[in-house]
Amino acid sequence: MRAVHLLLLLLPGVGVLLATFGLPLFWAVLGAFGLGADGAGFTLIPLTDIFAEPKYRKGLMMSLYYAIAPTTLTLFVAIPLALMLQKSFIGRKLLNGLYKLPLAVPAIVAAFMVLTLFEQGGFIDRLLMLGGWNIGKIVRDPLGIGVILATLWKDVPFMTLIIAGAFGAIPSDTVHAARSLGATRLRAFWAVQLPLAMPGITAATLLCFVKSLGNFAAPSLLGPAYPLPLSILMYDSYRDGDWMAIYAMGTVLILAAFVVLAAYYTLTAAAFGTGKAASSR
Amino acid sequence: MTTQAHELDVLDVSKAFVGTRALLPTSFAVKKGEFVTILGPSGCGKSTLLRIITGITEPSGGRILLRDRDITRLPPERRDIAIVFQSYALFPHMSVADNILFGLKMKRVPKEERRRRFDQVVAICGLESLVTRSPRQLSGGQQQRVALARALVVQPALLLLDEPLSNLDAKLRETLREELMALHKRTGSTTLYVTHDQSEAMSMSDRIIVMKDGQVVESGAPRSLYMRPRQRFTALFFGHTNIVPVDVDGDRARLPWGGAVALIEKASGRGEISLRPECLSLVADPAGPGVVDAAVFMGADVHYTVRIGDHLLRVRRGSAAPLAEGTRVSVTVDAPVSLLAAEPPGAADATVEAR
Repeated sequence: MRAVHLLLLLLPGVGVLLATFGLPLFWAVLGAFGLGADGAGFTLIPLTDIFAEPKYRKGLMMSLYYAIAPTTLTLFVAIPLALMLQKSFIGRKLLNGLYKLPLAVPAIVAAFMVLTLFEQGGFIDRLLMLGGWNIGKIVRDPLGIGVILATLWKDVPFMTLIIAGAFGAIPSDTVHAARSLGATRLRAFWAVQLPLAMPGITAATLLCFVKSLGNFAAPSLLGPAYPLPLSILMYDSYRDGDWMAIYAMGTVLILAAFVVLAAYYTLTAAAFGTGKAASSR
Repeated sequence: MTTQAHELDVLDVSKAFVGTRALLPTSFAVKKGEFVTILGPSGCGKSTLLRIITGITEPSGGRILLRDRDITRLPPERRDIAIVFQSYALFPHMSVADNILFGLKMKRVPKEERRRRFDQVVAICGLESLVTRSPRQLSGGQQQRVALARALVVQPALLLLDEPLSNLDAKLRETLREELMALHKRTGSTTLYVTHDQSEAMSMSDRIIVMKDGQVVESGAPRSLYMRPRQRFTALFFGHTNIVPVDVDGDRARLPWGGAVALIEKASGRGEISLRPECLSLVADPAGPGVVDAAVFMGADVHYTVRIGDHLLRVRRGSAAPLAEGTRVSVTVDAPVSLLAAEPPGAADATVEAR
């Protein structure tokens, strides 16, 4: 009886979630196995294709690369920047406002900005030419540097915003106590600030990672023509009407996200005991 | 200026505006094993001073010596000073044991020694049953004891306590005050205590430094500051008192309603003294100069207001033989007093002031 009450109470929230998110997901996963309304019967071919065909296999790698590389780099910029914003210095207010500007610029606009700046013959190239240098291939290069730059530009303020909040929530006396007990600035950071800010850092990292995994604008404009990430391959398949492939790629992307998230949690839990820190405030 | 006996020397330490408040050049010393309290209302600069001594805040001028070593420019971790904050500032992601062991690990104390000191401090602070807990599972008083253990275990040259009791309820505060004093006796640690609570300061300290508006007003033993303050501010800050104008002649001060009181020093001219309500005696005397205006029964004491000439005096006596309102009385002073330093002109307008 109680359980029925509970279900009824939860229905408005959970029901909407199920209808708008669960159902399409279920549909996609079914579709990937050739089942569902327009399926042709159970098959593993579209899924195994992703790992067998170089175009898809490399596409998956590229998707992961476009997500992991900029997220990792962003962390190395965002954490020091967030720490810096905790201190008081001349111009802090200005910096605090300025660093958030990229948040207001749509991803496609950011991609075009990187294109006009860093393309061969672009703005920076022409500047360098004055000194007799050459910019080299940054846009549409095999390493996807242009894509990473554009993603970084968008993600740094996003991550800094969340991480600065996490550091700001640590009472300053907690850090002072660590210092007076003999911890250098660096050790106080590792032993106290970082573990206490870990829930915020984790949230920021995961949000950035998942956002970049489906990145479309930057890779299509700035990335190499081969291999293409799954996001673009899905779009191509859509234009070809190949729904089986779309379902399969979508399923694999979701799985990949889960695997990376699980790995991330395992690593940080081992390093910082995040489980304890996460519930500490 | 410094002697071997001084553990801490604060020499002309100042801080130009912290927010809107400044710390004027301040000097004092703390001897080895001494329990010294900095007492003052909020905003008097006492916390700024403490932060400068720990190294959290940089002073604008002056020097700090700890065991004759200049530590003014050293970072906090190299000062050998431990601090207990009002908020306790425990590490919420560590167990009680890890909190206490933190300083020993940072200072690279060998493992065996670590174990020994840990056991010792856990026993002293009565934390045996709590070491595996998380700080979140502790009450305020328990957190306070962990913070204290965490500071004591590193055996610092100086222990700083920044209003450590003010987040606790009145009853617990009293218990912990006694525990703190017992702990101080056992460890003999040189302690600098900051508070705005005069009864805390009086009950715990060997010496009190009274601060106001960023500077030291006066300092001394609790009893002499209470009974024989030199400053009007001290007299009023330590509790109810009567500020009475007197004519001074040698070591006698003539009271405005007749009679005189012994002074601990010689002077001449006009001045003011502070008479504590419990240092005044009332005797029923039909020919006496005073009249009991009000008598309020408080249990152990009776609080009297006595009208004498054009003055109102606050008097506190035991309730064994109370005097009725309207009784004519004579007033005598039980203990010698000291003259208050002259106030800047215009500051003293009321002749008798009760607080």
